[in-house]
Amino acid sequence: MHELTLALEIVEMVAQETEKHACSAIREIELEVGVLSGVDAEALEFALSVAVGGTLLEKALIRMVRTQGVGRCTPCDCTFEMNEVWTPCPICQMPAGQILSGDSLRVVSLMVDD
Amino acid sequence: MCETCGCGETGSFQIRKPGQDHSNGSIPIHAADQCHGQHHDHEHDHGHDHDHDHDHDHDHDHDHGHDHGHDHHHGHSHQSFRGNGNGPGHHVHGNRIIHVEKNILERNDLMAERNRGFFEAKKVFCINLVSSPGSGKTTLLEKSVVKLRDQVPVYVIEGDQQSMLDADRISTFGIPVVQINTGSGCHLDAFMVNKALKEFDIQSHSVLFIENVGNLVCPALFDLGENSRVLVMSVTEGDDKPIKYPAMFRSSDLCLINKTDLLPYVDFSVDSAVKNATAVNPDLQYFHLSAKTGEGLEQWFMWIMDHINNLKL
Repeated sequence: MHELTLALEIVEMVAQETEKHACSAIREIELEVGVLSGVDAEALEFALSVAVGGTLLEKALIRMVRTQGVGRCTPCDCTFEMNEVWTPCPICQMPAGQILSGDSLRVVSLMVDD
Repeated sequence: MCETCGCGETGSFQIRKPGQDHSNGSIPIHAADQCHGQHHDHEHDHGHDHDHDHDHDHDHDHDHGHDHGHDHHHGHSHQSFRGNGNGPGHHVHGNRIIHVEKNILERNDLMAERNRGFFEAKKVFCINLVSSPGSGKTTLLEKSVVKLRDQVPVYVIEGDQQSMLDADRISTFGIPVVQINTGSGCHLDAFMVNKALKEFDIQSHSVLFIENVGNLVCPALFDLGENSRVLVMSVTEGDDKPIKYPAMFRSSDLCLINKTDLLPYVDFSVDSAVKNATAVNPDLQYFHLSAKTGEGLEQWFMWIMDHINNLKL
């Protein structure tokens, strides 16, 4: 459900950007949705399909980049891949350490026409 | 969708106080619509008829970080798109790339920082109580406000999709309380809390409880500006909840394992629950208590008072 709120935030943010940068159409939008961000990518895609109606984003290609989760184990000082926020350190099995990446939720860029 | 004007946008909510009864229960003192952007054009008339004094507080007083993006004109194919294997084949001469590079939750996070700054300046200890529905948050809150009200000023913001039920329960104890009804919304956000805060005249060195909408998923992403996020988990839930709803457990500071009086009757292992929650959030603290019987509540009250006393330093 919060994916709809996020979709509306994206639409609002894009409206501000396109007004500021004076463009006539949006060809593509690139989003970054980390696998540890707590957001369901499919739900966000669906919410966006509804939220973009009647906006410049309506015909834009939506690129969603799923960034991999990477964590650091404090005792081992090693970095490791995290598919879930509870993924333990593969060396010492300590529970999830510091998340280095994979929790992002960003509008990265827009490809627009003048 | 928007219940205020029916325009199809979400984000509408109402803020109400007990004791302002109207034909439908209470007078909405705000029908706020912070999610409506400034660029949103209403093509219809607002034909609301109100037979009572009614403040429409529609100021859009949130901050926007406007100055980060910049344009690049591209005369050649680019490689700035990553990831999905489609390649850069969509590029056409004359297009521009606007590098937005902004957090989707930026507006909420900015407002949350404003709220946090207010709490810091006023020395208010703000607790965001989160849980699934039925974990006992409101009962815990009732016991807490009765215990604390003689020691510090106590304020409560209640969040529910509908009804004044929780605010009315808290109001019977003489505590200033504001009810936020999120309508179809599944979480509180920093804008709602900011609006609600303006309904209080908050004294310094006080405690503010925000009881979030009962939902273990959505509220996790929305910073309200609180000092501490306290998760209530009851023993009538599964002890695997932390693994199923990791975002909420990850983002919380303290976990209250409630309804411990029911432990003899349910298949809930406190050890398993703590083990699972620690796997998700190694820094999470735990108190075991029963809001109904009062067992274990003292450590919770002491934890709150310790935080309030620390604000005085």
